[in-house]
Amino acid sequence: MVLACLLSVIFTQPVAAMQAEAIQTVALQPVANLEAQDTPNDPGGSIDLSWELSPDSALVKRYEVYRAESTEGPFEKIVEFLIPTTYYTDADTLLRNKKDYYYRVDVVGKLGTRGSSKIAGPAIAKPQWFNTNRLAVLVFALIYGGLVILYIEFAKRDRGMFVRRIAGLDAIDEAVGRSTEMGKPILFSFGIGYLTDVATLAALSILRRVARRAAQYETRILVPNYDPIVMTAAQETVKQAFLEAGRPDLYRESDITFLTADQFGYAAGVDGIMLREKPGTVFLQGVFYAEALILAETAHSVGAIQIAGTNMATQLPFFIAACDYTLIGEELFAASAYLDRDPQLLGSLKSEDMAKIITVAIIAVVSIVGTVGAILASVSGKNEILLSLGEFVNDLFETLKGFLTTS
Amino acid sequence: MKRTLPLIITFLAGVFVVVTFFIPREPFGSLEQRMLVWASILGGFTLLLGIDSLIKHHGRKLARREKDWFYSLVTLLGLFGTLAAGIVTWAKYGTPLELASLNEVGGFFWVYKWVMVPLQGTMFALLAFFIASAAYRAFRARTFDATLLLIAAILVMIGRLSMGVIPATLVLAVLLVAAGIHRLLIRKPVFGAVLAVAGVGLGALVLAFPQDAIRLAPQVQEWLMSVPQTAARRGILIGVTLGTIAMSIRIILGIERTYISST
Repeated sequence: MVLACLLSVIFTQPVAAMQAEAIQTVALQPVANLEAQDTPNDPGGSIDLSWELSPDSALVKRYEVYRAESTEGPFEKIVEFLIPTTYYTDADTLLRNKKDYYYRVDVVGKLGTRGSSKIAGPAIAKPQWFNTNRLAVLVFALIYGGLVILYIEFAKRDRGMFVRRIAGLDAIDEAVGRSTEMGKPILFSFGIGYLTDVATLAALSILRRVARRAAQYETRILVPNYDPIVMTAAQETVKQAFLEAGRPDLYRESDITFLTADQFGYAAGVDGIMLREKPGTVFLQGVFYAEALILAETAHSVGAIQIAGTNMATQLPFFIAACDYTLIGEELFAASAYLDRDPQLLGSLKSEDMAKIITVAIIAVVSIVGTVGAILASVSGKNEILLSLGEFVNDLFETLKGFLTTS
Repeated sequence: MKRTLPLIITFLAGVFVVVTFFIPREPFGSLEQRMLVWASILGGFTLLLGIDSLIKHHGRKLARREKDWFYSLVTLLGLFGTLAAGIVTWAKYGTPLELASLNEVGGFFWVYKWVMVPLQGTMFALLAFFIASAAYRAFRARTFDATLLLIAAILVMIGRLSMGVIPATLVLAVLLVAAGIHRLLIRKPVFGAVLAVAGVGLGALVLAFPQDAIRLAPQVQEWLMSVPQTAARRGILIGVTLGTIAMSIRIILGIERTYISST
């Protein structure tokens, strides 16, 4: 019995190896449906390839992609994959636009056996004039841009446009007055934003209002800066505000200084100023990261009233917890319109509300369509009408989702 | 003209960048990236403005022996000391960014590693204490909103505990009862009664069904974070995005001019 087992092991192993070798020496079946086409929405110089795996993929050791400028060749290997792959984007720097290219994908077995696909092509790389992936963005931008212009026109005619009260902006005059009564300076920080940040630009309009009031009340205003360009803009803004208030003599350029371009160095510097100068009011307006709470809590410790505002969603909870007033996101951007009451600015503010209604409506419609589709798919059973309705709704949902999620 | 020219430049640059966002074809497709490179090069030069301001401000304080002049001295020593370390390393290795200077006292990277990094770490570490003090103020159950915030925060903390869910929940229950009694004493009977009943109910439930409490705590935490928290956050983000677009349109069209001085 033992002998029989040994014999069977000795003889069956070479037979199995020979069978595998026989399979390997037979040509492998190539990949199927090789397609080559220009990469969409790109600046050119790129061709997309796609194919289906070989039926013998279990025996394939690697996939080789070849390119030629004519069907006759010569074909040059451009890439190889050691794992099963079904697509490749040829963005070789040698690839030229408006030129014919032909492709072939070879599968190579473990013993060197090969299978070559049919030649795909000609494929021509072309640069595009419009990125269709950004169509949804364009549509929304046009609608929103149109709304802004429309509401600006409305606002020019209707000067009594209603804007809800924003406590943080209403408190500016009170806060400046408090500093004046206490005989203490005002401190204004832009955080660690740059002039390219929209939040910093919005904060400049608040600084202008604060500086104008400070000039009227003859109160000192300190603006330590993280970015030299923001410092220059802040100096110009405060200077202008003091001039408008009729007190250019009170303007001190040395109160609007550069501290450092290091995040925690800036936080330490501003904290130091707060502890030494003990401001009566602290404005934290602009772009803030981890230093937000360090600044807000130090301001609280010196007894300052604080008005904060940022578009950074991660820092808003800290400001809400630590400050007396907080401008939440869009309220910061509404500051200039709210404070100046300029009809054009108010019109753009109103258009934001309309855009918000449209956005919420789109979210609601897509959510309802998605939910209905899911419900229909689960309850339709064998009912043909419900099945087709479910398919239609799901297709609609996928189309909407596809359109809205392209970027 | 001093005000009109910047507005024209802003309009042209703004429209151009918006249009190129939709055109992948060169040279438009890479223009945004190229402009960012230009901006960073210009940003490097503007640092000179900052250094000029820093030296003038602190130099004046030092020369006039103004109040707190000693801090100005430290600032200027820090500035010129780091500059000297950079020059010495540059002279020795041909570049100030030589990693070998890490182990040389006074080398540029030595200053970075042994002075700047610890100082940054110290400031960042302060955050833990500031979070505690801000949380104490925010979570004092003075109003209904603050109480909701307090309960939500404690539930999230309990849900993230790897062990000790039962004792922690019992502590929460005791706190709720204590807050309720305090409210009753300061003549807020309805609010006080709600808090006390909630505390007693929570304590009783945890003691009656301890296994379910251990199982449910992470689920409650997960729900709080993924539903109400995410919903509020998305609402704020939609508002911020629309506000940013509106502000950008106002700047491009020259309606928003507060960033330009007319002096």
